[in-house]
Amino acid sequence: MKGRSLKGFILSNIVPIIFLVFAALAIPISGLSYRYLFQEIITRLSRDTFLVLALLVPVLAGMGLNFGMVLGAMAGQIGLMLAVDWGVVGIPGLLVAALIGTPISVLLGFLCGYIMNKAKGREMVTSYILGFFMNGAYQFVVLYCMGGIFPIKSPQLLLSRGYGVRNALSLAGIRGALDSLVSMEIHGLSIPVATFIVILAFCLFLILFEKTKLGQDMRAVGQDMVVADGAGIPVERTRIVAIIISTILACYGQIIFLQNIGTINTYNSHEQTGIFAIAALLVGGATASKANIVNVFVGVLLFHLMFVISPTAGKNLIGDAQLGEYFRVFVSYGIIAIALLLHALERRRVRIARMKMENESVV
Amino acid sequence: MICLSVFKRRMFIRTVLVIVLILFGVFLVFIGKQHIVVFANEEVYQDGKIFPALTKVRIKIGEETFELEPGDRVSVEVVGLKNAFLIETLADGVVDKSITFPLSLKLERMVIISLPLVVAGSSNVTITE
Repeated sequence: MKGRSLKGFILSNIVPIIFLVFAALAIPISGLSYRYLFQEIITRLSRDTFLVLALLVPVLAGMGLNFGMVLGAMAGQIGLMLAVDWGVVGIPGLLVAALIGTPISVLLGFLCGYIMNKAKGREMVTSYILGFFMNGAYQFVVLYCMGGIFPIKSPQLLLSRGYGVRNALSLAGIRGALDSLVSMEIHGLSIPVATFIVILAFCLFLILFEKTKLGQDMRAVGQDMVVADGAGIPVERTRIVAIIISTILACYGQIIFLQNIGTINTYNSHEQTGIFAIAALLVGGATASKANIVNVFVGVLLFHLMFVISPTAGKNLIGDAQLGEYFRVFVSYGIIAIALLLHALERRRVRIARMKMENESVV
Repeated sequence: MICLSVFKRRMFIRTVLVIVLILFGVFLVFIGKQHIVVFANEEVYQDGKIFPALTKVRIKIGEETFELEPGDRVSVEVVGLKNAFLIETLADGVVDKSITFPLSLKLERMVIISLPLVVAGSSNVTITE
């Protein structure tokens, strides 16, 4: 019994265990000091956790991993661009960016949710492709409309031709605004307390949200849409709300992420947001149908630990940092592929089991 | 009838919420706006009078201190609607006159302040180029 439960535990947490073992082997090889590693992990936890948390609501609503969160990231970036153009700095700058990003996120989230309702059962691939489509729309707005149709005054933002935003923007006035609002130093480690308070407040919000009627509706929809519909829950509306919430939170997550980084890569920053956040969540032991806050923290920790140690470990082991990086990329994307495959197999198994039950009841 | 009143009440609450958020955004823009303030210690002509550049002047802004000779300029970045600067004129290395200069800003990106006009107590101390 005991052996079986241990086996069950290992099997259900195989992904984080693989990463943990790999990290345990790679840390000594990398030769990086523990203080450096701790500092990096603290920084990356504060930077990325909010983005990964944004994925939990759609999973609760049974919509899988929201690759469409890049839409929220785009909205956050547009908010930051306008805050920079208007010269608003510090915490007010972040809040202005969030205020601008929110209606854009709501609109994009509604669009995403509406399309996902038309593609039930294929939400992940739909949102993934929708992200590419909206990337084109984003580039059109940022590259042609800003400075032309939408007034942009700051020459630091505009391309020399007079319209379109530059490839890289400095967030000098906003950089570290939240991180340094309340920070403390423990044993030489700088801890951005304010950012962690925001993250913990959001975790609390998620816990409380699951207990609200909307949260319960989402859970019901996530378990079985037909049953939820029969129980009088507006399934499509609930799903749209889940995606809108996720998109808004992705917008805020991207703002927190970029205030930590300090620069916006206008045309690329948002592109990898979804993939990295999803990979981190899956590394934390989540699946496309089940994820919780613990998965988020474990995932961000392990995934970003790999980011830090892989190049150095690869360099020390083989003499080429790039090889370590290749290995990390291979493992990260491989994890996503395996998780999606397991999800598809599980759905197939459930479908077959349901068909069998229906046939038996008919007989 | 009941549905309509619920709809109206919901719309009213949403409209009020949107207005409050817009006003909050405007408030944030005002309090978080970064301005460039240029202090110019240069001869200036105003209302038919010539105000010569000050021999030596010291400006204190928070932790920073700047000393300006005639013809010098210094630019500082400040945030928010109201800021105060301590301006001291120096004679033989000793503080001759000390003025706390309050500066109210709105949405200007940059203002140029003439130090001779500040020291002379002029009501309009900004200059344009």
